[in-house]
Amino acid sequence: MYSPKFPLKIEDLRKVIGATRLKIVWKTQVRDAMRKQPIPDPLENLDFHVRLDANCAAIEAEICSASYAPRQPLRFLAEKSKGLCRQLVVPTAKDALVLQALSITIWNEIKLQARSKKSFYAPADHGFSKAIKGHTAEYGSLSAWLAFQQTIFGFASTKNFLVVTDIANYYDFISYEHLRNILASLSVVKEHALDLLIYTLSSMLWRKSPMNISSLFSQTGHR
Amino acid sequence: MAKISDEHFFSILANWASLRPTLLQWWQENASPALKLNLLTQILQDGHLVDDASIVEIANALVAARLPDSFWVRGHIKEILSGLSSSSIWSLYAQIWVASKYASNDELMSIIETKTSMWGSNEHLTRLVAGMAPRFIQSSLQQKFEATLRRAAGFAASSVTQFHHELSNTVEGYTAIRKFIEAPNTSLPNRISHAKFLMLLSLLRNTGIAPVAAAKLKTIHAVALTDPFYVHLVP
Repeated sequence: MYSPKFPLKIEDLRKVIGATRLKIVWKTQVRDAMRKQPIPDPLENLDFHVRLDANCAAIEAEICSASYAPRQPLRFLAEKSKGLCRQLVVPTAKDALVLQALSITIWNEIKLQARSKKSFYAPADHGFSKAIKGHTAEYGSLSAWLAFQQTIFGFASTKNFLVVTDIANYYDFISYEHLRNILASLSVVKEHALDLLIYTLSSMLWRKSPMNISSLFSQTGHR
Repeated sequence: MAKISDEHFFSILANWASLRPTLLQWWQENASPALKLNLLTQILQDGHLVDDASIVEIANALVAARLPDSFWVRGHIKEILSGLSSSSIWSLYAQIWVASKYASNDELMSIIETKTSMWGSNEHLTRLVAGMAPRFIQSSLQQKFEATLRRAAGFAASSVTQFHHELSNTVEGYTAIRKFIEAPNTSLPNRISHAKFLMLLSLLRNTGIAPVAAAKLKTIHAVALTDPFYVHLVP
């Protein structure tokens, strides 16, 4: 069952997750990215690729009939250093495609709202990284880095101290509700695309299994 | 190619998580990867690896490398396979992936049969097991493999099973992936990924493909077809 106004939103949603657009996103971004995941797929998702037309049409139909439900993603631990691990989540090919299509749409609008033209959010946003087809974007040479630093901070000379900060863990603690409110307040995104993004991401959140919850209660005396 | 001592190799593998993929890539491209196989066996058994990604990365490197078919290599592969048979999902994933290249049909079938409850409840593992179909096509274990899949696998297996069925039985299956299968993976020692090799196996069992096309595939992937462990698998 869906809300009475859902049919009104469908046309806007089609612009984001329409079959034609999904095909382009798969071919230009998602297929290659899925092949680079640490856990290899035994078919390199070729079964999805050879039936791309039908798969994209099916995704569009599922979303537009409000019957789309993300599948359980892959979860595995990857060591960062010194035995500390990060949990990585890899969606299925179909869900990755939906997420990427939504993400591109939202990103294209959000980046126009950047406070400064000197804001760079990924190596590929600036010329100091050399993009090589089939490889992950990596940082470029030292001179390219210095040129990049000159652009942002206005200096490229040697300093006695270098402070390195890592805000990667911060992302794990952003509440989706809060994120949604901020994005919606920018008034740049069609809210139903944002709703679909949050719905898809929320479905992939790690949750304790009922078994774990009951054992937790038994340990703390709460039943 | 740079030389890395055994001591440094093990130390990097054990203590520098971010360098593992690069080191394993160096290892698989090395002229004599078998010489350091004992170090991979050791690290898989001594508790240094605390994550899932490293185990699968090592399995990936093992199936990508060209190892000689020797007593030394077979001994270590056997040790690796038995060491991976834990109750962890990703250990099982790595075990099946390594076995898909180095184990006999009976050994591979045995792993699949004894772990049905584990892979049957995980979509990605189910896809992996279904992806072993080319190892059993036209073998005495084909019926048993298909029956096990029907019994234990959910819908996740159907797409993979159908895909391999089309590759091994129809011309359309070959035509659909012709460009993909003919493109070599030049950065890999065998110039083909292991996943793609399994697809090639299915295609080479397809009697509907024109002999010229089959011969062309064999020419393109001539390097892989001389891998000492792939040689045993090719019809």
